[in-house]
Amino acid sequence: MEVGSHGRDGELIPRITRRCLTDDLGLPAESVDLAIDELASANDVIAAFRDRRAETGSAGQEPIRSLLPEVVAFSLHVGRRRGATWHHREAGVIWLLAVGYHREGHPDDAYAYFERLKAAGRLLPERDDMLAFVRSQAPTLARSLLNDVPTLVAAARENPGVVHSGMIGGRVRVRLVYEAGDPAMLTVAISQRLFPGEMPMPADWLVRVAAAFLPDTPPERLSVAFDLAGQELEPDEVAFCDFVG
Amino acid sequence: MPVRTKPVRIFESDHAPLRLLAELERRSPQEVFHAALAEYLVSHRDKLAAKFADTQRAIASGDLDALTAQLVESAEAQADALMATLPENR
Repeated sequence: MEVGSHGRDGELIPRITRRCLTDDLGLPAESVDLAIDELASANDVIAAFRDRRAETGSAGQEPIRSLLPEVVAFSLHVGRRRGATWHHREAGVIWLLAVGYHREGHPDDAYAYFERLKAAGRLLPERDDMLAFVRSQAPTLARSLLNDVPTLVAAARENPGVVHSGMIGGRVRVRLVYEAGDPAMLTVAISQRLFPGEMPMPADWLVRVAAAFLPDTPPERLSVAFDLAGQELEPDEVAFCDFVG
Repeated sequence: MPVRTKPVRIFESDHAPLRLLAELERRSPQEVFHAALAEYLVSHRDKLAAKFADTQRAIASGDLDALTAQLVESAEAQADALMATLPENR
């Protein structure tokens, strides 16, 4: 069984740098906190970015040569406009870095503009962009801890001994099993890799996800487990368990 | 009926779990990983136990805002970790 907000394999998280939003697309700086669907409804380049990159999980087909080899960004064509998109593999994010008009041979041509931004150190995401990205994940994860975790636990209780899988907030893979016994035990295995991407799970998120699955366990009784009811853990999993009523 | 999972407590006041996990370190990479994690959890016991309890309280009261605020606490560290992966910083 799988519940929770699912990140499909290959799906990427779409983000747009604040500089691109304000300087290239003329949107207010606060729009960096808006959801991609809201932004897409206001701008056709963003809509194309979402549809052709994020939802398909495609980094792109046409690399922008002038940015190589340091930045492997790809060209997004929307009419005469060109966007520079970059797959930040570690973060699991596809970034829209810059947008300009394609004017062959013109100094203001989009590709020349992208190159100037790179030379000035203004093409790639800045720390504020990263912070906005990380903060944007928290509400979704929190909602999922409140809503999806009880559903997963209830399903596990209905099927003792059966390992259930889920994705919390589209970012945290979990597996859990309820073992009927006297007393019964609930074990949850939590992946140490945030999905999508390659970043490790922050230690405090690990503890908070465990708390959501074991809401009645006093901290001093929290235990780790080396297996899921006798089944091996995945190499990237850590399991927590407690006896439950 | 006994359950098959073998629990090892991590926030206990003595270091028995850590000693046990250190012994397991000689067995497999997964157990080494668990030992390292357990060591981390034990050495940050008070802080992590407080976070564990804070989250339980937010969940018990269905407080989405509190839970969101808790999950944002590590945002600065996560942003720094992501910055370190940019091509110009590798």
